[in-house]
Amino acid sequence: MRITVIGGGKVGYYLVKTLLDHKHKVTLIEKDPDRAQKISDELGVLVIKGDGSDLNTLKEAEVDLAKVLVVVTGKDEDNLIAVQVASENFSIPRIIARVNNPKNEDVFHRLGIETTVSSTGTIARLIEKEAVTDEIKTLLTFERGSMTIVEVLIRADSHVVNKSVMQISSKLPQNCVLVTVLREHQVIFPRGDTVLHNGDALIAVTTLDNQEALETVLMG
Amino acid sequence: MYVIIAGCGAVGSQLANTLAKAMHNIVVIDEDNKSFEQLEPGFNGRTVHGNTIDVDVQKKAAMAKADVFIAVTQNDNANLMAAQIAKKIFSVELVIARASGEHAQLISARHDIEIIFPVTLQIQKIMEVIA
Repeated sequence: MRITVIGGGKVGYYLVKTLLDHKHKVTLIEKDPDRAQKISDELGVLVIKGDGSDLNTLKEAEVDLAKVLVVVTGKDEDNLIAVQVASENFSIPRIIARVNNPKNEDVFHRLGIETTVSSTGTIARLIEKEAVTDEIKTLLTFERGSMTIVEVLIRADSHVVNKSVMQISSKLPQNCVLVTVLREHQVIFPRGDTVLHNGDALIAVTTLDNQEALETVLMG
Repeated sequence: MYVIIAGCGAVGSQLANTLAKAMHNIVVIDEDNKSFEQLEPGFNGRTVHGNTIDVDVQKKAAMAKADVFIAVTQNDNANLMAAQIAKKIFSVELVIARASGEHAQLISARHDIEIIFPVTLQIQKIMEVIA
């Protein structure tokens, strides 16, 4: 597959290396001439020396032929503008932008950039996921961690013990669905009249923002 | 009028001094505290230290209340990004950014941002003088 990468820093360098290993046809755009030369010599990849947010540089790199454009410079402002310029001028099937400051993930989305990758944000979420208590387990995450399937163990001291799903439903956070109750090797698909027992494992789909609120309702 | 200026360089500082004298409410944002020294001793506006593409820095400058936002830092792409944040997230009525190149024109048209092209302006002026 033909892939163009903008930014030859640490992320860009290893990304290009990995993509080459996977037999992709890679072109790199790098601003710093020394860095560009070094990567070109070392990896034998076509490196265009220039500013990735500049239209002429993108044309020179024949970015219109690429199936994927990945923008991974260390500066969020450069990544944003490069993506905007590329998506306005060429029809590239897939454009991925790196976000350095996790705060800018939301900003990028609000400015119309859909696919972002935030290494800092991803690592932080992974650590958070590992650090939460045993009673709530993350089984699966979607949308790069913004949505999760969790398993919550209902203990005797929980407020929801011996209550029906209907009774607790008003307390549940929005954007959260109870999917299944696991009770002694039995799988129960909960309905309004299903009563929760001590020792039940509840499987729920929730947005990451609501995970804590859900935890409070079910375990408090 | 409530005016926020990002970048306290040659243009930003003089603009801030002039607008403050004209009794406008001015906030100047810059990453380098030292650059605020270019403001006149009697400058009665506010200064905010920070990176202008940071939403929290814009929040600190009360961007949502601004009538005008002017981005004149040394970094074109930062100007364009800060301008888009001001326009899209804080809904500032009039947003002006200094930049150059074809791509700036495109972003200007797409995002309702006024762009100042210093290179084009200088060439225009020189051509006028020559003619």
